[in-house]
Amino acid sequence: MEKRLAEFQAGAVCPVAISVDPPAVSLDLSKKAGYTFTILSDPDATVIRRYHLLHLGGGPEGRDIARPAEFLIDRGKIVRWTNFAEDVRVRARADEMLAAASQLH
Amino acid sequence: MPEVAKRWNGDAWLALLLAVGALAVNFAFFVNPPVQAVLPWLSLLLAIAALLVLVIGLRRALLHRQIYRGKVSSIVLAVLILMFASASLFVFYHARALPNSTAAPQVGQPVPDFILADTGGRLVSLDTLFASSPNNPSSPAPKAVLLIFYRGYW
Repeated sequence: MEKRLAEFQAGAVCPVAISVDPPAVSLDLSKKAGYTFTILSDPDATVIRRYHLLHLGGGPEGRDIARPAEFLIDRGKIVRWTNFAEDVRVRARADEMLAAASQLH
Repeated sequence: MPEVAKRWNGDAWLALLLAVGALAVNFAFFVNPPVQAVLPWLSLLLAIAALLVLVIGLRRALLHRQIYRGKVSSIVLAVLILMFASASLFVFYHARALPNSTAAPQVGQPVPDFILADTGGRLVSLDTLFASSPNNPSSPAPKAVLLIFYRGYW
């Protein structure tokens, strides 16, 4: 994501990552990995639940986490593109997301 | 005699190679290749192939026990192959054991709003994200927000 960030910004797309990791953990991750995009924390999975993306007991020690998924949202807060990972190892393609974003005005 | 013994070892070594390959495929994800969607299936295929070749090798060894040599090495290899292949199968199953999330927002549907803290502790909502790029206030307001839900615990 970080490698292609310039392309997302050029396409006026704001990437935002969300997980149950607390802000301190995410800060640590972005510092180590050199991430500059926004990372939000949903420690009690309230928003993850609201989006129906809860993976019950999917985390370490049976903690609830988010299942991997991506949503491209337009200004009207309408979903324009989605990706629901079938395998946690397989990530969404940046090309596909950029192509979907280029359809938006 | 040594040729026959070699042949059994050949099977076992081939099976080991396949089993190692099945595990090694998992490291290919880190380079994020365009073909990554086929990698899980490649890993599965290699693990199954490793087990099949192992079965063939073991059958030969057991049916012609008096002819074949290298019992100890074949047993060691068989244990390694079983460990590597089952690890690949375990990963394949668990990596794909994800909820369907059929109730999640679909294309054309509105998404629920939220207010969550970023790494600096600032509260961020969809409106904030659309108002400006949080890390680059000088850039124009985005036309789209890409929400990336991830598992965390990296």
